[in-house]
Amino acid sequence: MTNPYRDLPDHCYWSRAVTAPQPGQIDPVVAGVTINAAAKIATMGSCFAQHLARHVRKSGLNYYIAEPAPEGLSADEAVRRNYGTFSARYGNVYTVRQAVQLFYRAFGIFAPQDDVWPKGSGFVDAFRPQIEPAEIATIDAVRKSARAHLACVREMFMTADWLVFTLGLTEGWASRIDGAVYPVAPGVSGGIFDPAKYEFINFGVDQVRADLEEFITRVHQVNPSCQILLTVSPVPLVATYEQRHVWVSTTYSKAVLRVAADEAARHFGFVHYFPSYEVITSPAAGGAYYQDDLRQVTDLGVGHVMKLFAKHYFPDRMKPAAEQQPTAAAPPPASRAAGVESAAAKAAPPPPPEAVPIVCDEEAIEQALVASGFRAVA
Amino acid sequence: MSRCILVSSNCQSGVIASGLRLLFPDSEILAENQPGSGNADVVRRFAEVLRRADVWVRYHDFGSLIADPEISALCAEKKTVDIPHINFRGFHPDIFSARSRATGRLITPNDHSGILIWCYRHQIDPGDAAALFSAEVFSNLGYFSLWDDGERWLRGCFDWCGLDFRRFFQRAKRSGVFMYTAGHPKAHVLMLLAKLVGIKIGLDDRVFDDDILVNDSFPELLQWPVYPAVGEYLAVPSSYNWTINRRRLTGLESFIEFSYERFAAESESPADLELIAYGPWAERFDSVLGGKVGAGK
Repeated sequence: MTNPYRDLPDHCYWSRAVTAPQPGQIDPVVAGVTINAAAKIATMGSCFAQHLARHVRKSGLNYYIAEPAPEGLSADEAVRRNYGTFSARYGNVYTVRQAVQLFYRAFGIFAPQDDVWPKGSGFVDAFRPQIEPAEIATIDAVRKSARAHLACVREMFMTADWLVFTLGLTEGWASRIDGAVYPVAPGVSGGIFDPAKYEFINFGVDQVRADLEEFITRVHQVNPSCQILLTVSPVPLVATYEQRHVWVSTTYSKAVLRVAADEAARHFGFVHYFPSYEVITSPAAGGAYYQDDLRQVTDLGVGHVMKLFAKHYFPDRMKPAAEQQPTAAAPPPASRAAGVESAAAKAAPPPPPEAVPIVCDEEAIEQALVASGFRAVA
Repeated sequence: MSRCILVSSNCQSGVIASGLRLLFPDSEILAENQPGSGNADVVRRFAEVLRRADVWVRYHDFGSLIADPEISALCAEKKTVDIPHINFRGFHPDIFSARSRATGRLITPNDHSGILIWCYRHQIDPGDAAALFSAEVFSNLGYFSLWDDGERWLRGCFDWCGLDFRRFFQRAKRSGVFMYTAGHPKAHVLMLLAKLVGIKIGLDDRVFDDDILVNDSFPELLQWPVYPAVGEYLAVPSSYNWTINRRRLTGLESFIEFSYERFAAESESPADLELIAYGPWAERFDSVLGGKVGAGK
């Protein structure tokens, strides 16, 4: 009887694909598509998505910023206000339910009731509470800003050629009123935690799978030519609200997201999976891709992921960034002219990619705890 | 003392012997440089040491040495274990030696940048030389293939010696940058070799997993950095900071200045400086670097 494993390609065998390669040369990507240089690439997702965004910019590709900085805003101020950090200023989109609701909000399908939270002497957008460096004076101003933002999100979904979505978490907090899901718990970066108003959710695999299918289907309906690249963030949870060890919750969360991503990629021809999670957590890396806190990813690890991203998805852009001509910034979308913050928006000069900090709403959980006396390390 | 074990190899003998002392605390462990056959007096002195040994752990390229009748006769009485030199250029593909054609003497220290040897010979401005330290140049020089070449070569040596290469190399590889320079493994790597030797002469196989540390003073003398482009390729830490004879050189510019000073001090002229390398490296440097800076031969 013929052994069915005989004559498989090298990447199917652990000894050839993991044990044997040089360090830094483990390559779990078996991609069949490439991204052309002109394609508008939008990114969203957890903190790790920003590494991909940064690399897309550095590579001279067309990183799609659907919500550019208003004219006249200095580059430093643009960074402080998170213009250019995300394709639109939605902040971190950790759960798939958040992504679905972001789409719904952008297209007027869902209008959450509890959308503005008090913070200090002002207010913040409950769905992106850290997007502005300071609170906003009035509730109306928060909502006005949100409307302008959601117009850009709508434009992004409708016109992106590629959407890179990094799945981060299954745990989240939702409004008991209408199920609106927030990026961080109320009380962390604004709002007031009230168990009568908010509930903890840890999405199960069926929920995440259904949410992801809904999100993909919706994006495809408004933008049939958009390709979607899914990744799973290798960054562990900063904290779990489940009554169990944070590592156990992390494993659960990543497993659910990984299953959902895999099934989506198998089901939809325009959905692809990029294994950044596998690269960082690979036994071949021996833990070297995590910083000393064993959570944050090292530059080495990010470099390995990005090397593979470039190699497989834009092979003609493999030259070092310094040797490439920068491409012109993407023009603002036509509908941006209707934006509230700047009628004739003109992007501020983008800051050097290295200067853009990685923004992680989730870390606000620990920061808030530290501010109240919690010690991260005994 | 129940028995005497002699380790003869190159500069790696000392650390291997130290490792064997920890593994065999009741044995006498001797370390010697292994001579060739050229100097009869040296061979005689070596024979006297070898005479005391019950076990001879020897560098595998011993052919000319055991052609000596006395050594050959001594050999017949002893258990022998063959070991390779752990040379590996995967992390440090740019290390070469150079000498003065006129005097035949090596330029000290022994390790130099191949790129800088070529640049000095062709009187390339230090600033232009620095620009040659790029991923593109390294790739064109074939530096990134030296890992596989080195692994293949080491595997051949281990196989010849009857030592378990896969066990050795997989453990070394997962420890990160396991070489100080192309010719100087870190102590824990030589300890792995010592353990394989120990297993061959009677230790329980499980000793391989014992956490046994051995001292090593080499890093005070020389630590060659993994260049950033190489580090990026191999996903290991990298820098342009050298330690040479307890002196710290920070930055590529400092190292180029240091190297040019050494070349000037120990060769009569740029043309007198000669690259020492196995294979057609001189031609490769001419082709790749000459094309890059337009210097040609």
